[in-house]
Amino acid sequence: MRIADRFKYDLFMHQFSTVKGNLDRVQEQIAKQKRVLRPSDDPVAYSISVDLRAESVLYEQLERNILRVTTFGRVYDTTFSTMKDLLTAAKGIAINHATGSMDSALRENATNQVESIIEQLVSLGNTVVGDTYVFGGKRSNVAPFRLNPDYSVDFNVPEGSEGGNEIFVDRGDTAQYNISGREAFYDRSKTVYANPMNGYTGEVSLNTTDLAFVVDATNNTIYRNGTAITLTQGTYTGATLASEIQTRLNDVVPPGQVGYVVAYDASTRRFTIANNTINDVTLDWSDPGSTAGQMLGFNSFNSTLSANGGRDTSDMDTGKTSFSVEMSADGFSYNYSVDGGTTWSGPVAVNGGTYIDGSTVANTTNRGVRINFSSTENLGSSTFDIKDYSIFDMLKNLKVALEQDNSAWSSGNMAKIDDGLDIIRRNTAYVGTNLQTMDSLTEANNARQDRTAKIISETMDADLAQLATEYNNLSTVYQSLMYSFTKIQELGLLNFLK
Amino acid sequence: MSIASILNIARSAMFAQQASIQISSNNIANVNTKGYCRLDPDLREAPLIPTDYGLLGNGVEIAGFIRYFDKFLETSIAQRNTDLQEQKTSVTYFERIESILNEDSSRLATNVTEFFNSWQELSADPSNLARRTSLVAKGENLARTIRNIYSELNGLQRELDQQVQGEVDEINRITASIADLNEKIISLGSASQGEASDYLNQRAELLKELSGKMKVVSFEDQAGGLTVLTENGRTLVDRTNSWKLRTQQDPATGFRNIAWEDGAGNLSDMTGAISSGRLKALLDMRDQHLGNGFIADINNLAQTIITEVNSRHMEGYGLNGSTNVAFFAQTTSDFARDMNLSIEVKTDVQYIAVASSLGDFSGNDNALRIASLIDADLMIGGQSTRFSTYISTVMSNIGDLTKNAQDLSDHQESAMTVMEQQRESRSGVSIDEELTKLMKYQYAYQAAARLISVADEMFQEILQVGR
Repeated sequence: MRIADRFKYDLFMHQFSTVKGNLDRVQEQIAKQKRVLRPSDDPVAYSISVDLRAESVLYEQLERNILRVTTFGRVYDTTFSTMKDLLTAAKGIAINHATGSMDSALRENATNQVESIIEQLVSLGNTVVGDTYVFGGKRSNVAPFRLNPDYSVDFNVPEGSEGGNEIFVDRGDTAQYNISGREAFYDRSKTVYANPMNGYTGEVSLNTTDLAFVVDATNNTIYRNGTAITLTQGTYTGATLASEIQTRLNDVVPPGQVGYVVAYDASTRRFTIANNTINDVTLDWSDPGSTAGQMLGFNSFNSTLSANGGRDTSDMDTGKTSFSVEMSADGFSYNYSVDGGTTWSGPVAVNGGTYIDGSTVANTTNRGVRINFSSTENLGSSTFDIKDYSIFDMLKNLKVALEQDNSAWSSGNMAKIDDGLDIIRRNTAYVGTNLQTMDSLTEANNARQDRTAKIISETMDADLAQLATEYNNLSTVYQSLMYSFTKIQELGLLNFLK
Repeated sequence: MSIASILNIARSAMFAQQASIQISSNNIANVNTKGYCRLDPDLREAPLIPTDYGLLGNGVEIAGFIRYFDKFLETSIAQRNTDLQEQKTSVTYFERIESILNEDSSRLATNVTEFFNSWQELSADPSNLARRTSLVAKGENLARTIRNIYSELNGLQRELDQQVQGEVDEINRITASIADLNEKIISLGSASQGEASDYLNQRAELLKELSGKMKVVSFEDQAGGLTVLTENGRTLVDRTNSWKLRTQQDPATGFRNIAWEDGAGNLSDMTGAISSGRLKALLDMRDQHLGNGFIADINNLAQTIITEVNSRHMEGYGLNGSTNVAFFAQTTSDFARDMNLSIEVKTDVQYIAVASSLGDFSGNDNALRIASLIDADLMIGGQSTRFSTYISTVMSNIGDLTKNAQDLSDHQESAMTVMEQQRESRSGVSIDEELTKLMKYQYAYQAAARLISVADEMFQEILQVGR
């Protein structure tokens, strides 16, 4: 075969270019310590690494979220421990006072201690981590508690913001990271508070700690997609009312198809309506005809529930109703108020009716609540409050009881201090469980991050030893090429004839 | 038979060898000329002359030149060049698209994830204005990333459209040059290969160049004129005439289509009839791989992000009680080009709808719903997938296309090298060979000169006898 000179040189140029290109590639791989520098180097590996790197960024976020839950958990743990100490001290004071052996100096000292306990609890309730009030519930940028001069305490979180917020701690899985002041210092069981200034020393109790839901002609309608759904009139618990709503909603779902699920959460006193049908539906809470909305805690905005699982949960607590009771001077009747004392009812005979308003049937006013007095002795002019349990209310009453030297009150309300301790124990247990869960999630997340990093490394990272060897080989090839080029040049007839 | 006839023979020999040396010199001079075909003198014995002793030789003459040209090989090279140039063009532009989409430079998947992570950050502290501001920054960053990718891909598409015009201009220049060379070759006549050698070489190179741009069919007539047709039979060159290709704007896309212009100036669209070559690569890259490919992909991604985030955001409530506010500016078509945050969100972070209820505007339910989109299977460009998987598929796609084009280009290059080697083996100049010939002609020339010297001595001898 004839060898033309141009081809000989072109061939060398091509070979030089190829080897030099490979050398540059290996050099870049060594410099960046990556085997795959661009998608075309290894499309599958590159694609996997893009997906995994995005996952890795997500895992970093989950790690931050878990850390936040853990940090808050540790703060709560410490806070509840201090709260427990403070309430235990308050209980000690109440026990001493209940014996009736405290002189005025001791009572004054005890009163100061109780005031100090209330102040410390308010301070704990306003604990800040970073720029977040940990007991602020959903509204975490405003101090949740305010101490009044009379040592009553206001909870400043609006009703819709009282709950805790959740954040993602795992893919598709959320956990509540904060405990609201409502959960930490209050309980949803209805409690009757006797004013320590009362002369009445007998027992006072309620027939229930829960409010009933009374459905009548004024609140029995829900509008769905513009069509009225009518609930059966009657008296319900939260659970039975949820069941009734579910039945009525499913009345229009064709047989054999999945319908609605309605649940009542006693811990939040809210209803949740889940739409498991195959169509989106709108609950027309803004329709004036949707008379059940307020009773069920939904505000007057329509909600669209997407098909196959869309949900709507009550915007408001359905059990906030409270009663103030003021006895007549003779102690045979009382007036009651459901709006905090702004308006009052007419006289109702003590132990006269079935329910607090004197009615013999449960209705939307009495919510099935009845107040019982063990006697009428010294009942005249006494006042009572029926509302959700509050550690602050209980302590403020203890303070008043000490000031009034009402040892009977202290003796009679010891269990209420224990109720406060129960709240703390319950929350401490919740925090402990949550911290354990976070520990497990941290481990799982770390393991996932390690695994992801390992796969990315195995897929993308360079084996430096291998690359160094390859680089040396290519260098040798390049040098050999230069050497052979020189030799082939020398072999020309032109050189021979010189 | 005379002494003078010896001088004549010597003279013809010296002329012939001198001409041969000139041909060798020209070969050596063109050793690096692309497309050059080496020449050799066609030396023939001069016509014999009758003598008393019979027919005797009368020296040498140059009958012509031998041009080492393999027509089949040149045609094969031209055809191979069609595929080679198509693949080389594809590689160039795929590598550019790859550099735009490369996650290391674009950070597309990372920015999408970080955007949804910011919703998680905000869900941890919904009323925190700093976190809201951070979310706005992440949202703007994501929108900017997508806009930049779109803008770069779109710029590349427009550049390709201009390249199409450039290629058409080049094709017209080449066909006009071929027609011009045809005229010169035909005027020299088919028997004058030596004289026309330079024109033939130039025409072969132009045909090869034209074949690199688009697939053509060519044949030579008896007079040496070359006819060139497009693959769908449109004449580009016929002897001394050439026809032009034109570009015309497609009203639907705004890009250039290719048309063939007949003698009367009528245009016939032939965009779809171009099946290979650099022009085909440019058209495919502009319309398929960019227009219906990666630009559509990035647009689909932007559309899904905007639609899904907005639909949830508009159901939520801002810190200021606002609702039905879009997070991303609403747009109906060019989602990637116009992706931006809504005016409300840009100007006041309180419009960010983190809560799902007006009575619970400090809640974070809506933020969680939006954050959960990162892990949700969504319809993106007609397929149910997650954002990161969709992006990694796009990366994998460009990687595959680039690698395939590189592999095909390497394969075509190797095949072309082999064919070039064969061509050079036949037509290329070897210095060693030419030097050998040079010596051969030089010695022959010296010998012929010596003949003159001998004849001269013979004349002197005869003249001495006569004195």
